Amino acid sequence: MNSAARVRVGLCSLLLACGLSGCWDQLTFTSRASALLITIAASARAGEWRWRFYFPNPTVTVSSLTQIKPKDQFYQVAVTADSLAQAYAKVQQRLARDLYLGQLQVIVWSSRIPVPTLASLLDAYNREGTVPKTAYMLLARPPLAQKVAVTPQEVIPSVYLTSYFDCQVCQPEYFARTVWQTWDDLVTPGISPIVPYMESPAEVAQIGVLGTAGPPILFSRRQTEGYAYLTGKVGKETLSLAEPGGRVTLTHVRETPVKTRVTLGRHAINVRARIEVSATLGQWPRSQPLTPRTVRTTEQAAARVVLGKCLAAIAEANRTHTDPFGYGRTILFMHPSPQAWPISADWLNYPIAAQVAVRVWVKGSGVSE
Amino acid sequence: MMLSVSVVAGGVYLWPQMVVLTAGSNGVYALFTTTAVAMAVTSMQIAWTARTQHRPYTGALQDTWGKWGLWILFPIGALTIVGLDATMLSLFGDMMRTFFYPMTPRVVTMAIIVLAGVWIAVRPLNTVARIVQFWFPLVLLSALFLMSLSLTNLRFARALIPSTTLVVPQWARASLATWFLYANGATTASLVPHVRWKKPGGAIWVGVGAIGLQGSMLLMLYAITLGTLGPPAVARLQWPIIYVFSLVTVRTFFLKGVGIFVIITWTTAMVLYLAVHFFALGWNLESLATASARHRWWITALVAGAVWFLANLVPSDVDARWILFRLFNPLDLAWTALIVPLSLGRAIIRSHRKGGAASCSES
Repeated sequence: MNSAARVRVGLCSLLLACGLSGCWDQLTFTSRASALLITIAASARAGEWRWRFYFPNPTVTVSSLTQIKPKDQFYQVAVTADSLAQAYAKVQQRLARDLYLGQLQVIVWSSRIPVPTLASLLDAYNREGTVPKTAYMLLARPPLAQKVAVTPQEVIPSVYLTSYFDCQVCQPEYFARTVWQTWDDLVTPGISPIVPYMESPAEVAQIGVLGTAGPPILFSRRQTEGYAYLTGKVGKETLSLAEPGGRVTLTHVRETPVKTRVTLGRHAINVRARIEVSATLGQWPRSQPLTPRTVRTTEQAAARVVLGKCLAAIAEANRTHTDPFGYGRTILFMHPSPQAWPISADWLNYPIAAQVAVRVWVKGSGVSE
Repeated sequence: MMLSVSVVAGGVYLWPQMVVLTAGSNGVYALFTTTAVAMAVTSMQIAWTARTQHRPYTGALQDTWGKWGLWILFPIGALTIVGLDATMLSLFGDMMRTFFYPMTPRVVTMAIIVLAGVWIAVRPLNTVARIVQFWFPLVLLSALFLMSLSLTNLRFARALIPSTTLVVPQWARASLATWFLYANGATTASLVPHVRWKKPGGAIWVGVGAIGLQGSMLLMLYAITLGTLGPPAVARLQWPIIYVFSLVTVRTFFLKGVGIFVIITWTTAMVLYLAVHFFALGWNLESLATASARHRWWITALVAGAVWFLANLVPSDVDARWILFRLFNPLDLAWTALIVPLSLGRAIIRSHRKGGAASCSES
């Protein structure tokens, strides 16, 4: 290689090295304010929303863990803005560091926010390429400020809610929903997206169903359980039955995958669901003998309880003209009207006519009789 | 291997939005159609260049269509390729800006990609082949790795099932919308005669195999995006595959920084795609201008500079999409589908005439 070529190669590699490092986007972590959690609630003025961004306190390190008070773990910036972009701008004005959303973990929405607003804000969020679409969605009843604040169960920069939703086997029913799943459900006809709902701090036991208008429809605890059974989300539920002899409980209640058959009827979406549940015996009345027959009776009683929950969920869905189960989407993927792309169909508004069969198996009776 | 790379789809990051937007889950019919058309066109092109015994592409053109034909036909093909590459590069710059480097000017990202492409393209053919041979399996592996990670996000395999009713206008438009991934005919035709094949049909089979490989990759990507998001959502996403790959969470996975694989996959694929195109164009122009090999560097740099300059002229990804799908895509398909069978036909007729004349003189 002659000297001219060497110079050429040297210049080229220098240019490549400079360019490839992405200087423009390169910032050290200490000069970034990395939001971990955002809450969105109604504000005093119509058309504007109250945004709260939570940032980990950079002075808290693992070594100082023993001294930290839970309140000091995060600092927050609250602004009132009409859109996501305006909220970014206003938050950035209040920060001495670069606002960074690449580590966002949870978005908490007020349960009173109208669904069309939520949808358009979520659209705007989804349009941005650099923000994580894997952030979890959560509905909560306002005021959000105290509720969401982060319990000291986790070391920052982890948010308690993130660990909660990350753990698929921790909860009785697994309802976690990420931004991309909610967005996907919002743009797909035939499904009403669900978002888990938090009643009091760290208590996520209900779901909110996003209809077409108005605020999210909150399913009661019973309806939520019914939804969980119908969609195969039950992992380690318990069932408590008031039998004539006394109270019977079933633990480790879990489902095998639900067998669902969806067909399009003349004026309804016909659903046949077979739910199979296995459980272990917990509490059992002393007076009652433990025989195959009594166990069968208990199984049938448990099945009736589960069935009642499922039917309550379906009735609520029909009452509110929603389909959180996605039965309409299943029909959609079966191409009932093959000419229709892009999709437009009147059957999307049909009610659900469901036949649900529940079978409960008590698999074990524990240690003692 | 070289061939496989010459069909590395530079624009794969746009896949499969347009197809799904046009035809929903019936897009899979269009994919098979376009792959079959690409196989047919490429094998015809290879058969034609093999028959003329000339290389590179310009040689074959001159042999079949004469000097005038060459000077009319080659610029049209070359300009289409340059335009297509510029649009792809512009879209790639937009993609990088959207997902990875929001503050970095697009000019710089594109300049670096082009520089890397030129750096490979000015090497002799066997060096290019070796570079490509080294990187291509890595790109493939990292793409497969990402795909396997994305499998955890699959939600409904049912969305993949196409309708039994084929709507012909939709199908035709969707087939056209896939063509840009296969618009490599002239490049392939330039490179193929350079390899010495043991059997005369070998080149055609390798060409068809390479397109088949690309087709199966596209099918896999199509299945993953549609199975994860469903057709209505895919139709709304500008960069569906990148979006789907970005859903792999690092929190629940033992490996941190999956994003690096995403960048490596797309960047390397794009650099190789451009490098092969620059190489083929540079070589053809060199033989056209009857310049010496020393001038190849300048010719290639000129082509690359033109591509980079044109890419900068495209104001936004919305415009780039319009240019790609409304202008270059149909133009390239129409041009290729017209000129290749005609060239092959003319070459066959000419060789028959020659053969006839030879046999006459013998007798």
